[in-house]
Amino acid sequence: MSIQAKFLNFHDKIKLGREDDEYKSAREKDDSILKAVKKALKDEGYPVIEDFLQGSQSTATAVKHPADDFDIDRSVVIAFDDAPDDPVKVKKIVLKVLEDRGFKNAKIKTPCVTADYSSLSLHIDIPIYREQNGIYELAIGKNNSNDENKEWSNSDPKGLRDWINSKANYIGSASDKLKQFKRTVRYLKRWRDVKFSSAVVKKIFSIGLTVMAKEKFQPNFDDNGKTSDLKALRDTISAILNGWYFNSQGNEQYKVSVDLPTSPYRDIFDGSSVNTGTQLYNKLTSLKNKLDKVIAEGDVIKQCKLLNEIFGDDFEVPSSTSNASTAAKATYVTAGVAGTSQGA
Amino acid sequence: MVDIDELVEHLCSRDFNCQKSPINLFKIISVKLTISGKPIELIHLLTDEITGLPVFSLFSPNDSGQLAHVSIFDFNGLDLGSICVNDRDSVSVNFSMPLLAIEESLRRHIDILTKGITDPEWNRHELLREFSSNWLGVCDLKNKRMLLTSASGKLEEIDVLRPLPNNNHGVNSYHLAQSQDSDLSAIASLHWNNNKSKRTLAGKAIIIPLIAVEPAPLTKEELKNWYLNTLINIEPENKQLLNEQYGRWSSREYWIIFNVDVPSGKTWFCLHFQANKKHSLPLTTEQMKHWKIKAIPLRLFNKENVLPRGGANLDLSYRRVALIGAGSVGGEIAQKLSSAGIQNLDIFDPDYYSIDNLYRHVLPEEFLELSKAHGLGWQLQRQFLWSKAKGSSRKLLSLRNRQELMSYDLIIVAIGSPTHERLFKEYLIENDVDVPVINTWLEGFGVGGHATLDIPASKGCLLCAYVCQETLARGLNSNLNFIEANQNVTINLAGCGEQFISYGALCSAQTGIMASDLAIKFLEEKIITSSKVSWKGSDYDANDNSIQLTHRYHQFSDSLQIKPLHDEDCDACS
Repeated sequence: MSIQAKFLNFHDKIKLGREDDEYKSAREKDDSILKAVKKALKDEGYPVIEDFLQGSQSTATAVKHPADDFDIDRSVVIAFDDAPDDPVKVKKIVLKVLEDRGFKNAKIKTPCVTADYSSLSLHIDIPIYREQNGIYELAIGKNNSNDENKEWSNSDPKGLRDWINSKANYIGSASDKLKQFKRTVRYLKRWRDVKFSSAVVKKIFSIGLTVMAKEKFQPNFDDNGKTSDLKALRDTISAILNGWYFNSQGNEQYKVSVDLPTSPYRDIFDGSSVNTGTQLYNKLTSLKNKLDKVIAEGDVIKQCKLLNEIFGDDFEVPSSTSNASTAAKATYVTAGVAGTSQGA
Repeated sequence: MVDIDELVEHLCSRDFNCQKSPINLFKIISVKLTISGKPIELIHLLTDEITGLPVFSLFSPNDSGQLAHVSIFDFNGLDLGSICVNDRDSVSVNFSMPLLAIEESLRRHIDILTKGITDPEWNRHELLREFSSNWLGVCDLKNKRMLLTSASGKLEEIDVLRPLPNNNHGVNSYHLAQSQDSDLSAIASLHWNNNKSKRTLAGKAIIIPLIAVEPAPLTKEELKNWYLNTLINIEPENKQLLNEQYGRWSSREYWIIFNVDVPSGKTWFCLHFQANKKHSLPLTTEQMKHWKIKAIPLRLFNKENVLPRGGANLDLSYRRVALIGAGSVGGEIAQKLSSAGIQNLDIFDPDYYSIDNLYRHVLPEEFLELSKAHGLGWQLQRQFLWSKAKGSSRKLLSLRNRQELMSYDLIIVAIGSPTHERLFKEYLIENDVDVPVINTWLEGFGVGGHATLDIPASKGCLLCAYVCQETLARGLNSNLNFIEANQNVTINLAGCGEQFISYGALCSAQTGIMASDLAIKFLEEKIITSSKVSWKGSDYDANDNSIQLTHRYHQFSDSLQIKPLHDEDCDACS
């Protein structure tokens, strides 16, 4: 078995899809909350005209966290003409729904309404938008914000999602390259969750890693189309480190800055500390060096041991060489039929 | 034309004893020299344009004895020696500098003469090596040619059949001498009319093996003596058989066909004897008085002679190959394998040859509505005269019979059906059928074609070519493909059942030749491990039809290079 097979096993372990069993309770809770939110907003005269997932669930880049909550980013949209001038007004309605349903820590944050459902390890964010002619505006403001800090702010939530899901820049086997990009994002997220302290890990925003990876992604397929996630990850990290995201502050200190590629084009790490930037830079550098060692290593078991140190125990180490080369069990692609281009 | 005075001056300046003809009508120069004390004179007739190596002829060639690479010809009643310097077409001549070209050619002519005169051993070796071409110099070329279908060359008396009347070309225009041990294909025998019901009997020919031979005579006048001297080189037991059995039959015509080993291989040559009255075969000076003797051109037609001349390999004649699929790719493969010398070719295909196939199939129009497999078998036997190709209307999946499959050295599948090909592969695995298999197919829009060679004793199998490169699971599409899966690549001109993949005869031929090359290299044991090979075409048509191509297509630069097939993630190979 190749090291690529080991990477795919690892990916299967860490990926979190909306249809996964582990996600079932959270998904049911999400559906239930959405129903209640829709009813409450409608009752108040702000019928929901659209809802959609945002965040990693919408881009298939979500990972299971070894200990922390499942995240749900559920956007709701009301019509521009129905929307109140005060965006916090609709956020309060959503907050009440969450409080009534027993959520702990339900509160209004600047970009969304958020809450935790501790028994399900569920963390939910509900951004609220108003829409007119395809233009979305995000409800900005906290519970007690004054008028200056409350606004319907221009936003492009679908644009960001589409940008991440785009395969327009990949030539040949574009779908497979997009899949490799998403696996790369998941590997980076799992690495972050394992290698950073819980205090810092929350400051290494997933969307920040995702945007950097997307902008600097280096697909790796050999001439026969065989993928190498190991080399793609290494090359992508190398490109990120050389990609002007880290601004030197002197004395080997860095601040990280990553702009959103879509409206409102703000810096995702705005306000991020030097400590966060420095740690991220140093750990990415270390990761790249370790991946170089893995690439240079010829033995699959030794490669797996090194990768286990990077990604944690979900990256399994075969117990012996014989195990490593044991005949693979036949697995089949999940498609029942595939169109072919062959003739003779 | 080069100026003759300028040429003479040039050659003289190079220390040649050169003069021009005193008669201005002829633009001829003469170069005199001495080789080992022998005076030699070479003459050159100036030409309007230098289109090849300038020619020098040997004056009075008979004075120099029998020289290798020198043949005598008549030039306006004058004997001249034509000197074969080398294959004149194989040199590139500087026609822009005619003086240099003529000088260089002169030196080459002198070199070959010097070698023949100063090295008698080499001279004799060369005369024997080129026996066949020298023999043609004394042949009576007006006589009907003789076609001999003999295989072994052993002592044998055979019938000589006359050409069919009014046949001025093709095999039916030859006298035909057919040995008992001929193994021509049934179709060829039918076509050649090689029996007495179609052709009349002309006389008897006797095939005589010689243990040695002298160089071919220089002139026709020498033939009689040369023949009698040659009889010395018949093995005693054959000579006894000749005296007691073969030469007793009285006839007005006899043909003697000698064969003998010379440095260039076995050579065959024929003498024709004609008498006013019937006599037995002339074997002595006394008997020769009744006969006129002529050398006549002989064309040996056995596979040992014909196949290597066409680049075929005799060793392949005994290998058994099954070809499943007689479409445009399969047809090409059948043709190329037969031309390579494979005789035992079983072709399987249930399809019938239709008008739709005409422009991308090797079969001609007369096979329309006939089974493609049978048509190919017939055509191959007709063209490749020792082919035993035969057709069958069975499909790939009906060939799942271990005993039958094990009788082949190689199975080639050219049906373009990944489902059937994978099913067949699973049967081979489950039933431990360890016969090597080539699978070949091509893709639409001219983007390319592929072939895999699955040798069970080595790493790598067909399923390696089906490992999904994204999930590493067993896939449904080959990972060699250049077109991404799940796109509509068919063209539909007339509704359901009339779809076809767009590719032309060039693509079929390219794929068929590539697969044939793989097959031949395997059968010749030049490839001993499972392998894959692809050719990549242009993407013009694919782009015009918005067809998405794979990463492999964009990166591929190893067209026609044979690469290992094994994929380390193939579960079947692990």
